[in-house]
Amino acid sequence: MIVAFAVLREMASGRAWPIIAFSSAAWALVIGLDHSVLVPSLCSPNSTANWIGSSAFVAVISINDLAAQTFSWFVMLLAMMTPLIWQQLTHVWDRSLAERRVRAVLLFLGGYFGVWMIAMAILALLVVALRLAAASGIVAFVIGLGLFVLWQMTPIKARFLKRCHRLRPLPAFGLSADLASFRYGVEISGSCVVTCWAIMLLPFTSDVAHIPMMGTATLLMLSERYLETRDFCLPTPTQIYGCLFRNRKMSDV
Amino acid sequence: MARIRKEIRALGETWNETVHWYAKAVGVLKPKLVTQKSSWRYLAAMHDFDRQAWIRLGYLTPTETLPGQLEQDRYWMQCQHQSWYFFPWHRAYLLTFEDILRGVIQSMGGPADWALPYWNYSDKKNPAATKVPEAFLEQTMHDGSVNPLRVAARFGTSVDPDDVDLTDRIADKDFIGIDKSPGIGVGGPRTIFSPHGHQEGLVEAAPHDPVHGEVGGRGGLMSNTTTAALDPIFWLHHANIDRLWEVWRTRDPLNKNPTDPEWLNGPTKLRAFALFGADEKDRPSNPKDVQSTTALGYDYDDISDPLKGTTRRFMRLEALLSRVQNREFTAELGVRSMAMPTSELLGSNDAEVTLGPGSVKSRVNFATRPLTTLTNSFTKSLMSAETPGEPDRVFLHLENIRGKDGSGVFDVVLHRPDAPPGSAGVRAGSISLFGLEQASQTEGDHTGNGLNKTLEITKAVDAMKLDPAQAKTLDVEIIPRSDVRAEDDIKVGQITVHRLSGQ
Repeated sequence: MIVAFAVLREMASGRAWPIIAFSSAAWALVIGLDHSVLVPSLCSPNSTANWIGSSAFVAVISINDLAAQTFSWFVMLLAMMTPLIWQQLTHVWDRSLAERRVRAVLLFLGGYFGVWMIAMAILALLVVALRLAAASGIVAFVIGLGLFVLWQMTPIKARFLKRCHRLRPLPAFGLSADLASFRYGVEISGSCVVTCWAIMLLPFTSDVAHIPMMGTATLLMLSERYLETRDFCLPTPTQIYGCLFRNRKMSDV
Repeated sequence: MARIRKEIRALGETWNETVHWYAKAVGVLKPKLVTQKSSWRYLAAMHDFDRQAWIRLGYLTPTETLPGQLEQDRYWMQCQHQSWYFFPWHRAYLLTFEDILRGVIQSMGGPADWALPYWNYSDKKNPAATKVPEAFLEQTMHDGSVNPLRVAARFGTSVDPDDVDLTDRIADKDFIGIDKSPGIGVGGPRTIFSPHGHQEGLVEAAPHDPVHGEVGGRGGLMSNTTTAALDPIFWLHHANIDRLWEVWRTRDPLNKNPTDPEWLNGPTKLRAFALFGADEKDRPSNPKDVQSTTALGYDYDDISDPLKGTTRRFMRLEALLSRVQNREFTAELGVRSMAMPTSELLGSNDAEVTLGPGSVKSRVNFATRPLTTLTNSFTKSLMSAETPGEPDRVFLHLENIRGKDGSGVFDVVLHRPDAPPGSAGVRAGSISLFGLEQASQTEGDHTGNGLNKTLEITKAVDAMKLDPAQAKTLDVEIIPRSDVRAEDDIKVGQITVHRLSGQ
């Protein structure tokens, strides 16, 4: 966790400060928004606990304002994910002609958040299924937590975490420059989704602690993003934290 | 009194006392178990380690017991490259090695003030300076015993004088430079714990890298970070790199080490440095602990300035002034349009380049506006040594270089597109790919981002006069100078050119 705060401090005091400012504004919006918008009513224990079958999905969709949900997901992603991609954003900025920098960054973000929004829709369906299957909201959260812990220890997760650091060559001119920026956003987002989908279950399945859980998930993602990654590991009881978050030197975190 | 590290050839005959004891001590350390902290192999693995490579080269048997994982995580694979920790970590590492060796030498009846020699391949006064010192080549020592300083997997016997020339290496005043942008410092960019990074400092880029590649040769120990410290010449090479840090630091009062606590206190985010003394107990080894060689107990016999106090800016302006006086150049080209220090992309090529046994060319296309801004920076005031600043500097980046063999050394030559066919072009410099294998592993810590190599091409661009009205492209030719093969699969992801203003 200390790593996450150190990274945020370094970003805020350096050239990445606009990213921190942008993320902070999104966090303000997240907190300022009505909680029922951010946390769909399908996540409320009273609304779904007794529903079963496909009609339940229809009901869930019908009682939710999809536009508001989509907007809340987008704001949530802006708040949580922008600090994670500062390395890529500065890469796109530095490797673009000055006149094209803003466009290149927007195209990168378009690709990045486009993939994440699709992933969020799939995650929402997974959460609905969880909530329909679980006896209560607490049980759904515990199942989500279990999935998160298991996923953290898989080699696939470790492999894709490393891929989140990829820096791609970006052409300077014309349509190929635009396409490369967009494609790069899609590629990084794909790695991010595979790496972080399970951790995103935590805020999705927590009702009252939705925003604190978002904050916790963000700090965890930042920590593991900037810790040295390892391959698959099976932890001993004393190594659980280190294995979960892939750090080599536990005393540093 | 501080021990004195001396240039190996200044010590006299091949098997002088210092070299004699070095060889004897290496001979004692080599047979020790790899689990012993004072063994040759343990010390080498502290730099970097690859079990398969060590087995292949005969430095490890498949059944041999290694230190426990936690111990490896703490002490092994610490080397700092492409980082502002490059100088200080290697200094602390050399000191650990030297202290252990001196202990062994004393136990054998050798001198208590024994100090590691260094190899100054850049000494222009000595025509033999670029040759690997004789003691590392001979089959036997002067007493007829097997020479532990000679290794089979070392295939180079000299280095190219151009690659160890210090003119463009220590003339800058910046230690750090600008991370991820043109304008690199002498010491390397700000990083966290960094066994392999992207951008390297001027001294690491050369002479450090090419000496590794050229001395090691294809498949040689020195050519790979995981095996380099197994070769006894490694330590003399790095003693010289350590000396160059002192030469740079003392040659100009403006040359300062970083004062940022993140540098002084060393890395903490991933791992911390873990180095020890002759008693094998950990000791403080962060940059703040190793800034003064005298405080550490040693000095160098020669840290005189090979550039006689001149600066990079002065050398450039002198050359420009001479060209203005000879009417090759006019100084009234324009007025700067950008006052703030800034870096920006001038242009790039548009396709990946594959390097092989033959030379390859790739065309860099420039955008008109930034090229015009560059040209307009050649004003009278900026070309005058009496006023601060200078015209824009220009940097060539070879990015995302991946491949399977890091011993390759290449010359980089620039050609104006309107140059007559067969013209020689202007040499921009050379690149050495030390560390390429590790940087290319897609599932490794480097995630396959490869190496980035930066060459300052300001002098070449000054000479070529890139006028936006005439020249909107530049051909970059990359010529292999070593045994590079097609199966090495070396690719350069992109070639970009940046300008840096406001200096």
